[in-house]
Parts: sequence; structure tokens; C-alpha cells
Amino acid sequence: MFFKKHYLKMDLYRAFFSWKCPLCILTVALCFYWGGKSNTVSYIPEGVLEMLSKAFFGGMTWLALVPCVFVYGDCLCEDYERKFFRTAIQRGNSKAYLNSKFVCCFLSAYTTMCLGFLLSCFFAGLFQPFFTSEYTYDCLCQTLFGSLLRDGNGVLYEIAIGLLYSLQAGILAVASMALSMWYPNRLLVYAMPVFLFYVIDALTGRLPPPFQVLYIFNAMEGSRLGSPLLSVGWALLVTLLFSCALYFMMYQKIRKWIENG
Amino acid sequence: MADLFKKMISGFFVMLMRFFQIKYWIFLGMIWIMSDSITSNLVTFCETTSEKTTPAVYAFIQSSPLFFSLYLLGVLCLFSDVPFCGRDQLYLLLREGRKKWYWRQVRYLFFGSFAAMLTAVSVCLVQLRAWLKVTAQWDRVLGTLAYTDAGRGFEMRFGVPGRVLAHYSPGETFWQAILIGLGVTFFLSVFLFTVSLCVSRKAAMAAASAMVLMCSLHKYYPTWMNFASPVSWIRTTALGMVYMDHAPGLSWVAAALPIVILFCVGIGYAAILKKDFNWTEEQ
Repeated sequence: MFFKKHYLKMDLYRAFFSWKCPLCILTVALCFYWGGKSNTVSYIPEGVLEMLSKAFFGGMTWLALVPCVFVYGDCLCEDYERKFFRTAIQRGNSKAYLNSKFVCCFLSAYTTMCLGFLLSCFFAGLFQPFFTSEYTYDCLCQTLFGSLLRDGNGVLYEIAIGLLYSLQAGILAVASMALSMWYPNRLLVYAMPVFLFYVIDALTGRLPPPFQVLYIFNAMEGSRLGSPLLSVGWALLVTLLFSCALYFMMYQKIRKWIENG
Repeated sequence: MADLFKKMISGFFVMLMRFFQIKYWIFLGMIWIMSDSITSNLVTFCETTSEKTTPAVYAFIQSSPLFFSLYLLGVLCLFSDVPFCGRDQLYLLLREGRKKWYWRQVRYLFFGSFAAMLTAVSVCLVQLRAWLKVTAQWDRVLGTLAYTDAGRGFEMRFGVPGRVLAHYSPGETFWQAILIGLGVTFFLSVFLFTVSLCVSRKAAMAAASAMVLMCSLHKYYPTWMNFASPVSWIRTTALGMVYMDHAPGLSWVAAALPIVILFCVGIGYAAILKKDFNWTEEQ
């Protein structure tokens, strides 16, 4: 069986029913809100769309990656420190153990980013109009999900951006968890998404648009492959490819863990 | 004399070994990424105008909320193992006595604060190395950013108040930023240590994080609270400025900062003499 029920149940409980989850969602919301609002020089944006645009184009979104990995990215560190993984694997099997950790880590980071992002939009929407600048609105109508804006579905537009962008948080959290198998240090795990973000951005930033790995998740940018469907499909495919590679690495490592006792 | 010198050197190396561990390298990486995201727009501006700027630009970068909040959060991570009661510290405390052990920790905190500050300054200056020149007068880059809205076009993440340029020289601004930044970093570390001794590590981290976050979100609460916490004094370009309501003057900060540090050190000293260590819990 791909999943063992008790692994999944335990990991879901550890990921979503702890004090970390709501705190991190709030922190992500704060990061986006702060990223969109705080700037000592530029104009203070007055609409939700302007705030989002500023948060994404201002390059402050990397701050929000840390709380995403904080939720459950350190699960393998915890298990390794307490040698809990041996008992856990003995009661089931290593594959199911890894599957459960993998899925829960991805889901926790994905959910945290998505809910945090939507929470920041919700709070911003309470106190300010959807947009104030026609120029920003026109620019954003040309972006990936711009058709939703043109049809007047502002909330759907925000949800679509959040859903796509959260894929990046999910995959970076899993990458941090994978690296924690080689170097089980929690602080390193929390900082790793930011380091990876920076390195990947530096490595792929000058490549042709479809291969700029981090930008394919950013729906505030224009469509990378012509049509929205292709762009979203490409983002999902990249996520899947990265996931497979990380899963393979982790599986090899966990086998070594077992062999070495 | 030679023995004393040897002892000092070996003590210094022990301190180095203790400080430069994985936490420091993570701190360095985060500072690098953060300052890169702040200075990249300034570099673009310098490239566009083909003008160089002074190292005093660090003072303005340090005063930007993104920089100082992440820098101070990094400092919290560096000293997150307060009150240093794990592993070998137990044996040191038992062997050399509480008083000596306490002063050793204060020295370590000062050294750590100094190293953290030096790291932040060096990283910023290294990233701007191609566009720096040392002059006694303010350069055109900062003048343009202060007196025109060029910063808006280039999406600068730090402000350049014209009054700072009018009141102080580049050298004064630079050294004020470094010395007050060092003082604030040392205060934060001593505060962490003292509260962790008096109450607990969690309380210390919560209180220090709250101070840092309050300082970062200063736009969202009444102005009279903006400079209430000593941590907020790290915004050196806002100190003593008429346009900032309730901002304390530089001389006031220079006098008050040592006093609050000494106060924290004194409380910590009293606490270490009375503290009943629960070693199993601390570890």
C-alpha cells in the first residue's frame, strides 16, 4: 500500500494540529502585507492589487518561505534526534514512512502559504478598495490569470495566484526536508528555502522564460508559455519532476539509515 | 606575563570556535541574501548614473525596516542557546565559579555582537564594492536620492533623509550607525541572556522577538511608542530628526544605551548568584 494509515494520520496530526500551523499562517500573511505596504521611498499602495503587485515585484516574497518550512519541514530532524524513525519504520515500512512525511511536508507548506496569502488579501480587502490605480489594473489584466480580473472575478484571481505560488513553497519545503537527512540541523532547515530560492534564482534567472524556475510559479508575471493552461501545466510538471528527484534522493538516504542502524 | 598572554590567546580562540559554528554561517547567508535584495536597486542606480557613493550609505541601509528587523532576528538566532547551560558549560560553571562564568558569557556576548555587526557592515560594503569611494563630502548619488524622487523610480528599499545630509558628514553618519548598531546588538544579546536567567529561554525569545517586530512595524502604532524600546534606536538616521516625532537625540541615545546595557548586566549578575539550575531541563 502506498500509504499506511497510521503514518499519515500521525503526520497530519503533527503538521496541522500544532501551535505552529496557525502561527505560521499568520506570519505568512504578515510577510505579504508588510512586503506590500512597507517601503520608505515608493508610494504607499492603496488597493489590494497594488499591494499584491508590490509584494511580488518588490522581491519580498522569499520572507514568507521561512514560516512555510517551519510548520513541518523539520519533522525528519525531530525523528532523527529522538531516534523515533527506527521504531516508526519497524512498525511499518520505510517507503510508507517516507511517503507520508513527503506528502505531509508538502501539504503543510502548501496550505500555510496559500492560507497566509489569502488571509493577507482578505485583511487588505477589509480596509481598502480592490484597486485604485487603473494603470496597475490594466497591467495585471495582461498577466497569467488576467482574464479572471477582466471578468470581474477578483477573489478567484487571488485564489488562483495563491494556489499556483504555493507550489513553490511546497517544493522548497520538501527540498529542505530532504537536505535535513544529510545535515539534521533545524536552523539550517528553516533557512534552506531562502538559500535555495536565492541560488535557483541566480542560476536560472538568465535562462529563457519557461526555464526561469521560480517565475513559473509567480502568476503576477506574464504567461510564460502563451496560454494560462500551458503555463499552469508546466508549473505542475516542474513540481512533479522536482518531487520525483527529491523522493528518489530521500529514499536512497533512508535505506542507508536503516542499513547503518 | 607570558602565561597570561597565552591564556588570553587560548581564551580568544575558544571564543572563536564557540561562535563560528553552523548558526553563524546561516546568519551570514541570510544577511547576504537580504542585503543583496536591498542593495541591488542601489547598484542599478549607480550603474545608470555612472556615479559612486560613500560607505556611509550603510547607515541608511541599516535604518531600513527590512534590514534591521532581519538582522536583529538573525542575532536572536545566533544567541538562541541562552543561558548557555548546555553540554560543556555545566563543567565550566562548576569549575570556575558562577561569577567568573558569568563575566565570560558577557565577554562572549560582546564578541558575538561585534562579529555580527562587523558581518553586516562587511557584507553590505562587499556587495557595493564596485560603487564605493571614500570622500569627506556627500556624493551625488545620495544627494539625488535625498532631494529628488529618483528613489521611487528605482524602487529603493531604504530612505535617505535630507536632514541627515545637512546635519552630519559621511564619516559621522557611518560611525554613528556602527557604534549605535553595535550597542543595540549587545543590548539585545544581554537582554536575552538576562531574561533567560531570570525567567526562561522561551520568555526571553518571546520578549526580544516582540521588541524587534514592534520596531519593524513602527508605522502601525502611535508615534510616541516608536522609540520606546532601545532596539528601535538602531534606526540611526531617524534619531534626533525634527520630522520624527518623539525621536530621541543622538547624544541622549549614546548616554542611555550604556545605562540600559549595564542595568541588564547587573540584573543578570544578581540572577546568576541566586539561580538554581535545573540542568536536565535546560539541556
